[in-house]
Amino acid sequence: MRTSTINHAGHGHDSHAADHDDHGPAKGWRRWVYATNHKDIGTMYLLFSLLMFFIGGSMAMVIRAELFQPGLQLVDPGFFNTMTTMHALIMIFGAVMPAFVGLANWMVPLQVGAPDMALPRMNNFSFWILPFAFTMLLSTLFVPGGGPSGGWTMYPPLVLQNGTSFPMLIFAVHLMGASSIMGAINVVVTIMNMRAPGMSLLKMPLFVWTWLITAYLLVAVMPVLAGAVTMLLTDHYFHTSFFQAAGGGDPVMFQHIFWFFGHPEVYIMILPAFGIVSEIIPTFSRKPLFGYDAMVYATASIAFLSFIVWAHHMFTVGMPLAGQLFFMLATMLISVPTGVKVFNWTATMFKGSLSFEPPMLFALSFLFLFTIGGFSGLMLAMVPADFQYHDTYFVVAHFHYVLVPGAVFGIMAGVYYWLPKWTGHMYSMKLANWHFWMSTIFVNVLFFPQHFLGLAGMPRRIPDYSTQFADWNMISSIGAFGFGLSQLLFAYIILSSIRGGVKATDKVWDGATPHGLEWTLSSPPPYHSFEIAPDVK
Amino acid sequence: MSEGSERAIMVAVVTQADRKRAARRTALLLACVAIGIYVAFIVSGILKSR
Repeated sequence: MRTSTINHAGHGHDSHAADHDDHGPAKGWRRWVYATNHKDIGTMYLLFSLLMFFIGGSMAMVIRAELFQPGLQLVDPGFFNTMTTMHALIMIFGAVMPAFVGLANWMVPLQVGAPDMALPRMNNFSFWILPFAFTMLLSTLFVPGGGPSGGWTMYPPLVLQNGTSFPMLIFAVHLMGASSIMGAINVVVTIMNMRAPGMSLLKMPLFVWTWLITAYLLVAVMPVLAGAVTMLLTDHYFHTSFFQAAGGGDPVMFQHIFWFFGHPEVYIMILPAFGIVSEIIPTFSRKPLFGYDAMVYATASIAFLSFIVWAHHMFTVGMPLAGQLFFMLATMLISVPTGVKVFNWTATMFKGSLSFEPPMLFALSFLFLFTIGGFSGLMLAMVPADFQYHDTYFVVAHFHYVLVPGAVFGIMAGVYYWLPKWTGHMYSMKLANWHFWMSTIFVNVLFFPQHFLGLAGMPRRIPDYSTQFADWNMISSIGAFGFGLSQLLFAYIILSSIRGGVKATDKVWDGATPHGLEWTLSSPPPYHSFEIAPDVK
Repeated sequence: MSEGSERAIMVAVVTQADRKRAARRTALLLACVAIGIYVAFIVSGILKSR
């Protein structure tokens, strides 16, 4: 954020608390079911996401337990495929995306000096759709034929062979999409219309900027996914032939449409994490962010490029040489704005007065490990190499490096950064450090060997494998169990902080003051904050 | 409460209401864009499969 001063008269709440004490939270279940307060809805999103993180994580444990040794040990291959499909759907749409929406709900109004999200009732609706969507999705595990097992990409004709679970999957995806679009619209209109006087766009905190761009991405691509799955549904039930070759349709067209949604979706899951890291590193370096404007333009460039690289997910289906070259080079071009970000974070730390509290540790881990995922992405962008790597564990290693120590560590960094502000209590630094070190060590034990497995030719989405892959698979599974167990500590730390602990100061972190309006509020912030907009100079 | 601060609150309230109205307009526009993209992809699918 550019240097700005804040008129604390805008803190507002205390001076007018007496006028508004009838606006406190409702009692009991009504507070949550009828919630319109951005903090309550943010909390529900975050808790929902934590629950989904554990459900999706349990499915990952089933996958890694089966892959602990070669041969079929625990589950039948059909159920294994269901686990890979459901793990992806739940982690993407149930854990990572709602976590970022939860963080946006909590932090965007606080960071732009707004009293709430612009459309609070739509905010309530967009959250409460999610439990229904995921109840429906999870209930497919109990219908005849089992849950969806054709992969989260839902490629036809395979997905059309699913039984009763198919329409439930499609309806659940529509609901998730509607929820995401409503959440995104709310973020856009809050940022565009509810900013405090004086907070120009280029004074906004980077988390707000990255979310604004993410929200535009969501509005643009979630309808594309909805269109694709609607066409799948009509192919199955109304005898259309959008994607059925037998009727003159084109199954590869689904892949194009899906990845036109799917690649921006990757950035939807990582751009807010960039924003969080851009908040944390300056705070714990006690320096302003290096190259604020460049960070904003780099984020916008990444978002733009995300629309023109989709076919790198499907080089092996065959495409003209010009198409291969275009998508290869456009994909490699993304490393330029991403490199700008990585170098700017590094330059922010240069000659800074660094300290290594848990948010900073997670941000640093993000910086190193996400970059590994970025480099393996560059390897996959090369068409001839991709023909070798495609559908191997190398791809699994790549996107898990981007999404776990990338997106998930970004979320954890954000939670550790703002948790004392939300609850008013500091958490145990010792336990959080334990959580960090266990997570960082085990995530590498889990995913790094998968690069070797992929390069050696182990295919993804299989429950059994050749004995030559046994050793690295065993190590990967041990990493998975360790990573899964260490997340119990994360849940314990959060719940402990909600229940009590050492009182947090308003500013919470020593270096936090210049970087956002949220630190001008009390910890926890009042139920209605910024009723009078603060004046940002 | 002084007259000045009362006026400040009134100005703030009016501004907030204006902002909410503007927010609803922007939201409606974005919803139309989202629905338009959804319909456009399905229509292009229909045209391609004919």
